[in-house]
Amino acid sequence: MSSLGFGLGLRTEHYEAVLRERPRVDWFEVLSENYLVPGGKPLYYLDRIRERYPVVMHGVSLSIGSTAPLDRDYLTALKYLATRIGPRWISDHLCWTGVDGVNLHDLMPLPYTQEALRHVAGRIAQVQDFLGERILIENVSSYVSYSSSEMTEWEFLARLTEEADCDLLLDINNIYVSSVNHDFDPQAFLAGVPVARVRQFHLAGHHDYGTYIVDTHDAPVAPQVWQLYRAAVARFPDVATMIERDAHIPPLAELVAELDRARELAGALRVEAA
Amino acid sequence: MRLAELQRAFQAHILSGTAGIEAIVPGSERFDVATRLSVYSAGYAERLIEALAQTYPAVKFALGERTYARLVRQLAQTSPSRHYSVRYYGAELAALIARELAGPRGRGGRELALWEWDLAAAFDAADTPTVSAADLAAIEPEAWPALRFMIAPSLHVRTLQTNAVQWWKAACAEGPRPQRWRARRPAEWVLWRAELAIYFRELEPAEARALAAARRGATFEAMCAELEGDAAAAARAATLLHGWLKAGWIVGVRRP
Repeated sequence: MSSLGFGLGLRTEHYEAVLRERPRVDWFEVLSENYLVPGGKPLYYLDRIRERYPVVMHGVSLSIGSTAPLDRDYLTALKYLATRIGPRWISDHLCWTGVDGVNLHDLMPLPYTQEALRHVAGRIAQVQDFLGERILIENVSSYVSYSSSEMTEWEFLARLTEEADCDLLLDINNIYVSSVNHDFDPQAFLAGVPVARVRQFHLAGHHDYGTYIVDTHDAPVAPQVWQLYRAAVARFPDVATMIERDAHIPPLAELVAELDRARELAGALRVEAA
Repeated sequence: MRLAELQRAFQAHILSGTAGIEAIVPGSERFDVATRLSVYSAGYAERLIEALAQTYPAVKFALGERTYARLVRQLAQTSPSRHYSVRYYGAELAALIARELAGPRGRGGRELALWEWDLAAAFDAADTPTVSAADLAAIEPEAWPALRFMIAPSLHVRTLQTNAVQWWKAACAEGPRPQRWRARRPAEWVLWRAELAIYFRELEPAEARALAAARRGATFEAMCAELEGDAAAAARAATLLHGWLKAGWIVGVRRP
């Protein structure tokens, strides 16, 4: 396949195992902020793992939807890191993380309005000009929506890709989580996203509180998310997939086995399609 | 509500529970507005409690989970993060501990927080090639008095007046807690990173003065002056320098 294949989020707990075991992982996604430091262990391991695997950079601090000015220091650091490790692409979230100089270190959703669309598209264009490449924007899990929204999240994303000329990272778990929390059809989300713009999938675990779901990345991928992933692979057949685990990190072999499940599932669908 | 106004109202709600945002957030019987917003407002502090536990594991160990969490909640409200990376959040925790906790626990907890903040800074300080003994040996003797030494960016010196390091060691070993916080005579402690490992030790007063001089950019001659009272200051300084070279503290030498 022409996509990157099947990857994992690189976590500090697995640095040594990755170098020692050379696991059957096609690529690693690194959390950009963990490596925006002057030196030491994180960059030491990243450089070595980069020699062996392709990497992509995934950030949480771009705050592309904030009405605060873009953080030039952050962008400069991001570009410096990208120059150092040569990622296949750089991604961040469709969200805002704070205003008035504050960073809440959370991914807050935007209202899906014309105003927000113009605002975000303009900022993505600035970022892409600065970085010199097209970036990927990821849908977030959300727990609130706004009465001011004028379109669905997927309509917003579809229009954003056109207006900003950016690509998408579809988080399948986030689609599922938000569909439950906001009572929409996740298949409609998939159907509303332009195929040509999707370059990466995220799969992750969540916590079901009974009346709502929180995106926790601390558990294996849930059965409902696997089911939605099947539908996603059917619609977007050649997209890089990776598994995100950020808490309760299991041994590397366990995540590789979970990734193999995605590989097998996507492979079986390709056989069916052929 | 315009986007900027919405974001200010949302942020104010998260930081201080201010009303206003509820009016434009639809809820449902199954998932009401208050619960929806609480995912963000409660999650904000919880996330920082978890993140700062990476920087301050020994503070959490020494003060106990409940006190640690209470202090970080307070910090999150009064001094929210202003940096793009959560790695750089929490420098004010030491001062908050000193303000909020009385007596030896407050003084010791403050020093332990400063110690862990320095450790974090050493952990990801810039990698710099070190100067070797052969590099120094090649410098002609007459140049020595005016030489200045550049010290590794990972090196930190901290004056400690409590048994904070004892608490830190207990936390690392997950071992028995020291019986109590104790005051001790003020001492200078140095910590640094060589390759990927962190090292630390207590400095003798004369070495502490010489190192402080070197870090200020003083000349070798001025460093020797800090050792006055020592019968052979230059020889003593040379011995110290040899130890610093071996430890990887010297990353550059500037000639006049």
